[in-house]
Amino acid sequence: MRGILFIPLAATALALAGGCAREWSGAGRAWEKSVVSIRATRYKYDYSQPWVRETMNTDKVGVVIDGDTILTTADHLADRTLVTVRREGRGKWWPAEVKWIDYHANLALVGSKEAGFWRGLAPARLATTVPESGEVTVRRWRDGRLEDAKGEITDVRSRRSQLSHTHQLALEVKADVDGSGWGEVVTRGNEIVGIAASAYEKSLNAITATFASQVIAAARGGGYRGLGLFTFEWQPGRNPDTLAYLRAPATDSGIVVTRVPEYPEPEKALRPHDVIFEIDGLRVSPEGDYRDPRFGFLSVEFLADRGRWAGDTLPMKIVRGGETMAIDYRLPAASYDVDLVPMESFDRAPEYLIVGGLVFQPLTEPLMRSMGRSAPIRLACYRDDLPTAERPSVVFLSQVLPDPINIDYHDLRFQPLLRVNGRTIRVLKDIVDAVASPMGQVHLFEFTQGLGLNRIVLDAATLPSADGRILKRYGIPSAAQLAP
Amino acid sequence: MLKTARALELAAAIFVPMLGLAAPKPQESVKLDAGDTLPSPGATEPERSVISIITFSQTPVWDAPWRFERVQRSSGSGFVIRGRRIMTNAHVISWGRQILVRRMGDPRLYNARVRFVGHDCDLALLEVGDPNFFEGLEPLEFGELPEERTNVVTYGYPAGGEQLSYTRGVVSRIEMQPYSHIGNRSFLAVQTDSAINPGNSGGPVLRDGKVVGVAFQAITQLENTGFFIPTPIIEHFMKDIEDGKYDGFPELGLFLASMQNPAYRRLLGLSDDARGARIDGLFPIPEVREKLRVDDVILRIGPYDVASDQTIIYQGHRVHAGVATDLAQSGEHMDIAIWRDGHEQTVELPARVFSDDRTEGNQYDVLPRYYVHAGLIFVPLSLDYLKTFGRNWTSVAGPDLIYELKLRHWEDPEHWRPEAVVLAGVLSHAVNANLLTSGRSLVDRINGIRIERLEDAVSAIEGCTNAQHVIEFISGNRFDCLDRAAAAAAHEEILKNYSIPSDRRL
Repeated sequence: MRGILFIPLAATALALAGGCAREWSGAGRAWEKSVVSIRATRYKYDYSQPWVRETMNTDKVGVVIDGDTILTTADHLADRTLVTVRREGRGKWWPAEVKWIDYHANLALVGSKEAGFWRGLAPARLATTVPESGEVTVRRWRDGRLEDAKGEITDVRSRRSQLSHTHQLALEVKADVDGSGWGEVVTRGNEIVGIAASAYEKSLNAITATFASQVIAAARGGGYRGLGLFTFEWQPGRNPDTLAYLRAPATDSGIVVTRVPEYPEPEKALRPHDVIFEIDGLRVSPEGDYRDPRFGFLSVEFLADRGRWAGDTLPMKIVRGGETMAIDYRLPAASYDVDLVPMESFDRAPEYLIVGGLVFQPLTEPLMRSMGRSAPIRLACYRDDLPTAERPSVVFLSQVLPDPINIDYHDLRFQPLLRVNGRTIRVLKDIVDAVASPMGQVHLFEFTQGLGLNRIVLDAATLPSADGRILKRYGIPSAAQLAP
Repeated sequence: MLKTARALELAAAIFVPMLGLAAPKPQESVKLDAGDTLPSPGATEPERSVISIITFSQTPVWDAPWRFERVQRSSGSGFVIRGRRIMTNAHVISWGRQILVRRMGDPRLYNARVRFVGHDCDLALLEVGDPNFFEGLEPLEFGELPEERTNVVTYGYPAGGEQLSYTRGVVSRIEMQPYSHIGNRSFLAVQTDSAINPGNSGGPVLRDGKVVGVAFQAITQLENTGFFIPTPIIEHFMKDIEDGKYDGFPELGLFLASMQNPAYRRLLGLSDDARGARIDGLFPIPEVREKLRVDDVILRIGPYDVASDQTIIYQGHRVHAGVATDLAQSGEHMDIAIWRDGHEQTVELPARVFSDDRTEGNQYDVLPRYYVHAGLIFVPLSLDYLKTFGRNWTSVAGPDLIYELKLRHWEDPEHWRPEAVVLAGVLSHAVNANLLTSGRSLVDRINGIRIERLEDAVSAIEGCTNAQHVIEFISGNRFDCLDRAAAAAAHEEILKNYSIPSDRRL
């Protein structure tokens, strides 16, 4: 799940003053020709009224990595309506476009067709090795000056992506930089060593330049399959009694598989209670990490992205039923569909469907996050469930827009939907088909048998006119916003 | 939301020791209207029968159930009724180790004991061993359900004071309200603007010299919003105990829904009037499911016509139809007129006390069950247990625990467990040092046996012949193992180290 400690602060925080040690040298001035500002205008959705959208601006940092390409993080580039770029921290904003983006990798490449923008800019070099410690400089434009704050690498670790379940190698940098985590460029000498992806107080996490290089090279090479993701769930295997129960030799201790997905891709190679003690030739510790030759212990999750891509085959050694065996694990692609409650839904407006004033939505984490602490427990319960072919998503009644057709139901909310007119609802679109076939003179909606109403009906004959009336009365542009 | 009167009492208890040393505060006089009971010193007025109650209580520690919290002193009120008994609130005396009562103006304290208690309706009857206690005290008589806008006077000993207090108010509203002492039941209650403060609990509310209610709870966010238990509920309690035991308020076992949607009325063949409320769901009770169906429309419960907004007219007040059920005693049969398949028909249903959801509410006076083996503490999942997580327990407890406690029964009755069991914690010892879980985990199976009640955990562990105990949890298919022989060998030592007198309370 997405980390909660490292939260990018609002881009407007960039305007806040920060007192930190600064360098100003010839080398620093050279970076003025490489570090650029990016302003993304994007839709911001109101999940309580999914037909309402505003726009918001986010200011980010990018770095020119070749003649016409800027590298930055993917964060806040989703649902964009406009991207502009600015050189040397001042002057006009130039039209730009996202040339490539991968939310799971949290990386994006931005370009501009404006020759004037590029004139005089110089690409910076991505480091080919990961620094393990030492001083770095965190660079961004602020108030027309290139801020270059001294920082120190305090750790190199595998960290879950800001936007995905995938794990990446990240530099943990201690630096006195307010409101960072928006693509600030972490440099050493004349090389980029990282791109800041998140921050917490005086510490930021930067995606390593080597990881960015690998992903960009793969993307440019064609046939990019994306990052992989371990979709099985596991628990540490440090309990010797558990290993004894699983008949795993003490020498083959590792992690214990607890759950494997059925949907969207059924897991074939692994089974619950398998003990995995080696992945891709690396020994897995009972704590759920492995000893990286350079960086020490890193999370085993990173092995899905350590020079591997979705669809690759990873050799694993496991103990199953007391028998040691080698298996080939086909690495699934990182996807938001692996969760019953998807953690993100980028580049598409939130889905909804209004029928007779009943507002139905699929349950997503952005929607849950929008409710904050008031998110209903009933819906939160689904977070622990895996999707299945029978239930690939949770569709629920989020609210009722009061109208004469839905008298008695005005106070209903947060009720998971099971069937409409006898038809099982797997995804939101199923409601459209179900409503096409009323049960006699009514439409019957059935919800999970909880403490709210289990069944409600709407008059079929007057539904079309009611729909029109409701949309007009509540100023809703469309009765539906469905996934393609 | 209602704050529990219990919490109010405990808050007052903080000041009680100091009040015992402080000079009594002068009482403000209350101007009473005609029809109100006039308190006048020295007379045989009703206030002489209002009793101060001091309770020393001790609640169990729900996640370490062999232990108790420290003793709490709290105070409340009560009043003498016929039969030389004192009526008060259940929450005034629950978990009481010692209950003391004092008469108005009498410095002596008398020992009292609980004769009957109804935690669902928050009422209790006390007896006092010393017959001198009742000398000169006239039992108060009960009156009718008061009308809205009429004046009532609340008597009691708020804030732990030693002088009787009177506060006058108006009956503002009469309707079903959640009873916060039990937490998961609603009954008829009367709202008044008469000040009902900590310590008032259990005191009588009088109108025309007769008791029309027992003060019991307030809404903390609102000023001058107090509630009292009206006489229909009190009378039900009194009738219930006539056989020498308290059964509780029965349920019909169904979920009602309003029936005002024209399309739904047409679908079920109902005319376009205001009659009938629809059955939207049924409790998992075989007899109920046999006789009633979803989409049956309840037209009448006993003599009360049920309206389309789920209400009945009771003593001139439009109240929720649940009041009609509450009037029945457990075991009585009720005639229910229903509309089914276009015809009216009558079914007879027994009114039964429904206790399957007892763990969803607050529990009292029965010590919590537990089982400890090799440092693993197993307890039934309950609201009381979850509250050990702190004030924000709803955030701390995982959704799986809350779902199992609050929703599984209704949503997924086939997989519901009569008593879900939690591995509440682990008492550290070398034998369990490598367990992954430290507690607060809902148990699914132990040694392959599905755990439906605490006894299942005991038999699963004690009947195990495998080399390891295997404990499977509901969340995420996680599981943990414990060497059986080593666990058995360490068991007694752990009990001794942690001063646990017995490894079980079943």
